[in-house]
Amino acid sequence: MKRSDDSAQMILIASFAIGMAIVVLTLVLNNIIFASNTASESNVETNVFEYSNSIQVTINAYEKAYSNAYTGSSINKTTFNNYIDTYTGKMTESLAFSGTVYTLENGNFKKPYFTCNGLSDGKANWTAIERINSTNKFIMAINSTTLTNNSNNFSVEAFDQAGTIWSAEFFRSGTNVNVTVTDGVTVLNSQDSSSGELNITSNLIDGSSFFDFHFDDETGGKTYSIRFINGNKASGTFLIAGDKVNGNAFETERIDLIEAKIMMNKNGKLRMDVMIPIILPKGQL
Amino acid sequence: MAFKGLNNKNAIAQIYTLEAIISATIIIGVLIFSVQATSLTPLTSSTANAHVETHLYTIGQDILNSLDYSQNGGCSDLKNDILKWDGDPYSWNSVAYANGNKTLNNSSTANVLEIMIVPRGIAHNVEFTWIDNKGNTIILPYIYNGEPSNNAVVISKKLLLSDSDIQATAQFATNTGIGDMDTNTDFYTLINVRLTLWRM
Repeated sequence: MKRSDDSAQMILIASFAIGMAIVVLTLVLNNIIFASNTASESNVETNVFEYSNSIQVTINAYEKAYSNAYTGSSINKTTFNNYIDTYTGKMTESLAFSGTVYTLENGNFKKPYFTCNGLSDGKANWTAIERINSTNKFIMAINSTTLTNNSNNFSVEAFDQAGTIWSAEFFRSGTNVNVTVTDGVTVLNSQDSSSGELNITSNLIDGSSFFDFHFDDETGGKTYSIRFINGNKASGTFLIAGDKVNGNAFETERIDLIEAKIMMNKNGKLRMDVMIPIILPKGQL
Repeated sequence: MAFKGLNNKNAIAQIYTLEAIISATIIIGVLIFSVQATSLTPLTSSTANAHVETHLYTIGQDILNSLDYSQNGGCSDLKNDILKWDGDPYSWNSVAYANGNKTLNNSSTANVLEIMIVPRGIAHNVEFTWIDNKGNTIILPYIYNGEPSNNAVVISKKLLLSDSDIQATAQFATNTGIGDMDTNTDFYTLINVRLTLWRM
């Protein structure tokens, strides 16, 4: 064998070995990267589920505490606070098993605006109930001092796929609340209310005075939804109850608003501090 | 020259030695290649378990979320199932959830599990846990199909029970063993619903 042949053979074999080594190393590295990516993507984020559940349960607790403490005209704050204290203790105890520190701070009761979340800076145009078959109770009490008396007044509408089928617009008239009812196009009725208390389904204003709201006439036999327009222009309370198209009863009621601060801290690493406006007694969207 | 100063036999021997070493390297390389060339996929055994657990967890979260949904003014299906519970554990007998001759009727939880979980061959338990006033955690099996395996996932959701939710609190406590944790207020107890899922 010639010396030059020997050298060439060795170089050839060495190049094969180096090439093979590069291929193997590439594959090994690729699999390591893939495996680490797979492992990291497989991690289930449980904290979001736990936090959202805690917020939901806390809202339920406030609704129950309020319903239990509401005497018909006012809130028994001792009863309300006792319920919330017991709930907070149990929630803290329950979450401690997952290493989460739960703290709940009560805010003060506020009079809600007719916005989606009840706050004055909340969403002004929103739909309260969808796909209604019939409305049994529709009661509102509007605070005239927060009402405006210019364009873009606060109004409530019933609408279907064709558009607005009934509306009531409210604006301040001196110290009164002016109510103007339309069928979406034509004005059907208008009157001042001294107290701002309106029983729309019973056609009563200021407690006992008759005022035809034409609500049943315009909505009867139709499937409709109820929405609030310019809800940030007025504060007050409402109760809407009835049946939906699917046969289920609904009831949403807004009397008070409380801002609860929920703090959750998991192992000192994950932290959540949220201030939630809770509409009471029920009707959280 | 590479082999300057060496005699011919030594040079050939050195080449043979190197050739042997490199051949051995190639053989080892081929073996490693054969093993590693089987690329990792989500179904490769070492990674499959993590994916299965993730999948089970997602299914469990969806089930509990849908069961705990309530419309305006109503109780959720999950809460109604707790309120209607007679306190006995039920097991899947390939036809229905049963305890002896009794079957679990009018349970939305059982219906959803029967539609979602049973056809996929996923073993499952549902337990209600709560903490008594002494700090003890009480675990009450609602649906029990055996001991979970090591790769089981547990999904928990908390539910609030108030006295006003329950028609007869004393009767409910006697039937289920879930006691009233505060008799001075409307607060009844905080239930932790635990759904355990595992592949068999």
